[in-house]
Formats: sequence, structure tokens, C-alpha cells
Amino acid sequence: MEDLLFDEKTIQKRFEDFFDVADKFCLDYNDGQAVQVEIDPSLLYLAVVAIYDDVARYKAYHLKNPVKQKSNPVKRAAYAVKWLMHFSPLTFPQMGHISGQSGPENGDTLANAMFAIHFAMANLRVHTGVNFSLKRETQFELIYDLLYRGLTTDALILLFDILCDLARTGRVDAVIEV
Amino acid sequence: MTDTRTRMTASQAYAAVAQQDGLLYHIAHARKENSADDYDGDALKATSAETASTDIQQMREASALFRERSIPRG
Repeated sequence: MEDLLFDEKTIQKRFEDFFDVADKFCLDYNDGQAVQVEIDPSLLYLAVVAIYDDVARYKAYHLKNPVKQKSNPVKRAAYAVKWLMHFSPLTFPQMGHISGQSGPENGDTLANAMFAIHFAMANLRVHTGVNFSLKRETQFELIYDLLYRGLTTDALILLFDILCDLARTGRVDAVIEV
Repeated sequence: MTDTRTRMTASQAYAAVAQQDGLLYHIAHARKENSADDYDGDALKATSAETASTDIQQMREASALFRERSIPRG
């Protein structure tokens, strides 16, 4: 298994790409906002390493030849959501740790959920070649589940695969029969 | 990093967290081989840059529904 883990150079490249994505996200998130969100590089680094360790484990378990066969961006998207929610690398240093005044939908948990969904969607858009978005109600339900329910990565992989099928075909009968 | 006093590039951020004498160094530095996945970092960054602002606006509108609905709290 150790031989299958992503090597140092790959982790560095993935971290630097991830940092650039997070940096741009923060710039857009902060536009017009009084309280500014920032990246904690250490927490982002832990998230990136955990994401690719999980991808490597997935490949080792599910693929016949995990060294040669590639996993697709759906797995990266799912494990990114898992670890971004776990490590929460986006922070509001000006706010400090204020508790008891509001729900998670008002603080850095929401910012990290939004970043996780954005990063996942960017991967799914590249994967499908379709620039699609979720409807408002679906976005709300996904954010709600990330904040209040337990979504496993297996469930996220299933959800993202279904979204990719819908995006590619534009047809609901690609997923269900009535 | 968006604070101009502490803003750093991606390579500076990596150097800060991956120094050999640093706490995080050994997490990713004992690997032997690469395990490939289907990855295009430039396409990912370009797609993210194109869609981040719209995604944030739409998710802010979606999260406004939290104020309109019952939220389970202890």
C-alpha cells in the first residue's frame, strides 16, 4: 500500500493547485464583505494529503491494477468534500472563536462547506466537460446535509456520479425510469 | 491568504508547511511511487476561476433558506 501513495512531488503540485483555487475562492468570497476569510495553509496541507491518501486507498481496494489504472475526478471531489469539512482550512481570524450566538450556517463551517462544494463542482465540470450548476433547492439540501447530517464518501461518490450522468446527457432517463 | 500583510503564493505556502524540520513534513515525504488519477490542474484552476464568483452568489442565495426553515438544534 505504501508504494501506491502519491509521491512528494505530486502532493506538492496538488497542494499548490489547491492553494491557488482556494486563494481565488477567498478573493471572490471576500468581495464586499466586512469580515474576511483566509486560508490556513497547514490545515489545507493536511486536507490535501488526506484526500490523496484516500484516493490511493480507493484505488488499491477497487482497481485490478491500481498503479496503471486511473481514478476519475469524482473520487477526488468526494474525498475533497470529506476532508475540507473535516479540517476546515478556511478561517475568519477577525472573528475569533465565538460560540453560542449562531448556528453553523452563519460562520466558517458554512464557508468551508461552500468551498468544498465549489471545489467538487469544478472537478465534476472538468470531468464532464459541462459547465453545470445545482438548482437553489439542491444546493441548500447539500449544504444542509454537510452541516447537519453524516454524508459518507461512498454516498458522495454515488451522488456525484448521478450528477455527472445528468449533466452529460441532460436527460433524467439517464438515471431513472418512470 | 487574502490579508495583504500575510498573503503568500502557493509555493511559499507549501514551503511553509513542508519544511524538513517542520511538524507536517513527514506526512507526505516517505512515498516511493506515484499513484495516478485523471487530473488536469490547469483545467481545474481555470474552471474554478470562471465559476467561483457565480457559485458563491448562488450558494449564498441557497443558504438564505436556512433563515426561512426550521433547523434542528438542541
